[in-house]
Amino acid sequence: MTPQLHRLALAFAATFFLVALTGGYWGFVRREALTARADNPRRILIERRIRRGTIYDRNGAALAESSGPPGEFERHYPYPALAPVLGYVSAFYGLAGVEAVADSVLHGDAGHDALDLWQADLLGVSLPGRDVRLSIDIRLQTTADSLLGDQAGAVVLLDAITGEILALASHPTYDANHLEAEWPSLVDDPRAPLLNRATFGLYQPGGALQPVILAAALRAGLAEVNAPFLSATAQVGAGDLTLRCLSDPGSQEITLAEAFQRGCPWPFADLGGQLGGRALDQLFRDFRFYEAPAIVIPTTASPHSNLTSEAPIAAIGQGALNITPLHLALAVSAIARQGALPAPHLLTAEQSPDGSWRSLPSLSHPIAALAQEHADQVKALMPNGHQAIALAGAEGKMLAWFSGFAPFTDSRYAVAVLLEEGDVEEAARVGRTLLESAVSQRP
Amino acid sequence: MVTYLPGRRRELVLLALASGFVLTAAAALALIPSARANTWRLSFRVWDLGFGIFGFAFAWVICAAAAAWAVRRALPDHDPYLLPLVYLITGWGMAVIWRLAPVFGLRQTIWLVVSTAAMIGVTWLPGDLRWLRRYRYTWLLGGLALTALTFVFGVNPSGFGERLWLGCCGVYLQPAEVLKLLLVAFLAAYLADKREQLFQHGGAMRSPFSDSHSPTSDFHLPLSNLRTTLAYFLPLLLMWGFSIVILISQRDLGMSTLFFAVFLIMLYLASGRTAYLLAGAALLILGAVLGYYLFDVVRVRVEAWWNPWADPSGRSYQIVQSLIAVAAGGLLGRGPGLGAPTLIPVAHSDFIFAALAEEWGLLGLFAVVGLLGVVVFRGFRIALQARGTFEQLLAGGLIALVGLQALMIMGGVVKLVPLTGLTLPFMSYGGSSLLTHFIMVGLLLRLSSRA
Repeated sequence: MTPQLHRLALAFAATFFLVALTGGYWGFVRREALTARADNPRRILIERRIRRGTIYDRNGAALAESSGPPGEFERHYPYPALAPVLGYVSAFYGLAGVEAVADSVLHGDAGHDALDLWQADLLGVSLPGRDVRLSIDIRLQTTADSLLGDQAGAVVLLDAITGEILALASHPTYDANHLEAEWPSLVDDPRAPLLNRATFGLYQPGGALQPVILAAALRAGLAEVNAPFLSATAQVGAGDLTLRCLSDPGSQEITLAEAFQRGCPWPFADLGGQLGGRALDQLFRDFRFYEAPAIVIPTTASPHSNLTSEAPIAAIGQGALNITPLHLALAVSAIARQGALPAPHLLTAEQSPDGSWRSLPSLSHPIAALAQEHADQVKALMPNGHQAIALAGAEGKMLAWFSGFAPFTDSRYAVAVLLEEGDVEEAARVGRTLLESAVSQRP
Repeated sequence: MVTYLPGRRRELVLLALASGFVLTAAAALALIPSARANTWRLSFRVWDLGFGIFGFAFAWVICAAAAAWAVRRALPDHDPYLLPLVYLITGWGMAVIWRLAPVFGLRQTIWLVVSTAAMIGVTWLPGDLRWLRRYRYTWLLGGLALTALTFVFGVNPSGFGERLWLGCCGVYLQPAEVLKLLLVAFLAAYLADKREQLFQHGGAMRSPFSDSHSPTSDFHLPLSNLRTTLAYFLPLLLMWGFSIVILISQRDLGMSTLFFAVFLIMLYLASGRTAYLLAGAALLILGAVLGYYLFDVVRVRVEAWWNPWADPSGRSYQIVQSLIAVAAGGLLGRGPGLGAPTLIPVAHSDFIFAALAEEWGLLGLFAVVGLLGVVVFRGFRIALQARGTFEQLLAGGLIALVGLQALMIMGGVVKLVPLTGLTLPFMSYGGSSLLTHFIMVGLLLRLSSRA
């Protein structure tokens, strides 16, 4: 029986070794991938043991805070409509928005030196969570949310000088206080409530590009605003769709300025053709339409595409270029502020481990998109903002845009509104009311 | 150095080292609540838990010392490694159980006392294990009858699931655990007696009851002897089929696989024919394929093993959580009491290996695999040095049983093989399992002694 016993012992030794090896594979090689899984409940258990930091608005109002006894901390969002900015913390669905971006600070890990972290880890102690501050003004945010109401769309209100985002609304949205219960229906909802339309919704710009195109035409010396424009009221065909003036000009003999104010597409298709694809391409680069705006939460931009063959279509915003409402708010800031395109800013300060506040810089730098001369000429034509429509998709679903700024002299606030249902007057009402609130409240 | 000490001293030194480890683990666990709450002001409940943990550590030390003393009295030249190894694994397992579920920790402490007494009893029994050999059919039928009783009186202590236990007055016994020990004893006795007739068919016909030896030259099977061969194999296959039927009808997948594998190993040990292993492996695969199509329980386990990521919150919840726990532990572990192994379902029983890996890390995991590996190694050594065929077969069968069960559940927990719902020998919570394994250790200790 001796050889059998020897062989068996060898086989057992090999199999024990194989088990150890497999354990090592999961605990070492696959460690990161497994612990990062959304169904690893340890992450949320750790979260519950520490009081996660508070997210404040610019005036110190709490936007997200943790409460409850240690070990059972619950995250609470007093303004659920701010979910597109704040995101969520969930045991099952992970992190999103500012909660995800500022996690290491809110969670308390960042900023400590390695020795503190090691000691805390050794003792199983959690470092206290720290607070962060956003540029959001919750009063203006609430106004924006109530103005938008049930309509699908987005609003971005900026401080045109600093680029700070004062309000950012995207509707429909979700309530992060009840995320776990509502998640399945949120994911299946055809209205896409989890999508942040303001920063991540790419829309056909249509007439919303007109201020930018006009400025480029002025820069190129192709147009004079007060001169009559030949067949300014003509219809423009873009694919199977037809575009015409937003409001009836009454006469066919109108100036470029009047065509701009009435949202007539023809002059801009014409100017686009004269400018040519290369100049338009440069223009879109100058306004950073091809770049995802650098704020902490996810943003997007449409990929760069060759415009040479379809310059007129590109100039009326019916080409390959799609923009987000945030892009438009930044562009209108440049018109309002002598051509200076601001660097957007959202996460403005964080608490240091010693409790003091440390302000955070913008993630990009402001640049000059236009010369002051051309920006001011366009600005003068839109004291009450600029309304526009865009036709989206093959069936030509109408989108309504509004961009504007206030006050007229030394403008401080810039707004962009998008409504998916295409009610231009409503978009203008939302934008103008929000600007009035901003001017009167002076955040 | 330990290596040069005589066996007696060696055993005591190793036991002292094991005690040091288990007492340190208990002390660490007693301090968890304060570490977790980050304060030294402890509530009453915390002290309560601390007392419980030290109570278990105390009981464990008493048991280990009593076993060392008693076994040395009965068997002066027994294997000096087996007791320290087994007590270290058991003590470590109990520390983990206390950490996971103090209620089960208390019960396991009581079972440890009972199991130690049973093990000492086995080593003190007079005679030459002849009682085990002589009454083999009685033992086996008794075990089968006990198992059959679960058809009628079976319960599940947790209130749901397969009813594999017999219970009375708050104490539950899983007859299948006892049956596996009795089956190995029966097979060892049967194969030792009939070895010649079963595997060597040269020469003249012999009575199945003769113990005479014959030259081992001719292996081919003359047709005229076919009936004889069948006659020898039949009772064996019948007994086997019967026990398998009982287990499959109870849906205890792990135990029936274990039985069949141990049966094959013992057949191989007795015959030396690899063909048995190959044919048996083919049968096992055939059984697995049939089981996959016939029994939901098999299909669910196999699918959860093959692709757990397809349904991580449903049917493969256990295995996915188990792997996440191993990953959460990393190399050094979260530290005793500082992980979250209670998130794994039935962590104190089937998944104790994963719970241990989370808090003690891969180092702990390797250590447990290594300790069990050395136990198996010592077992095979005992089998090699045993005196007679019966003793060799018994030792080999017992240690194969321990080794296979350990490999099946550890392999299941790390997704090497499908999960089979067995206990990890000496470590998992489970009274019947602990008792049976300690009796097996008692038998191995006896077999290791030449006195």
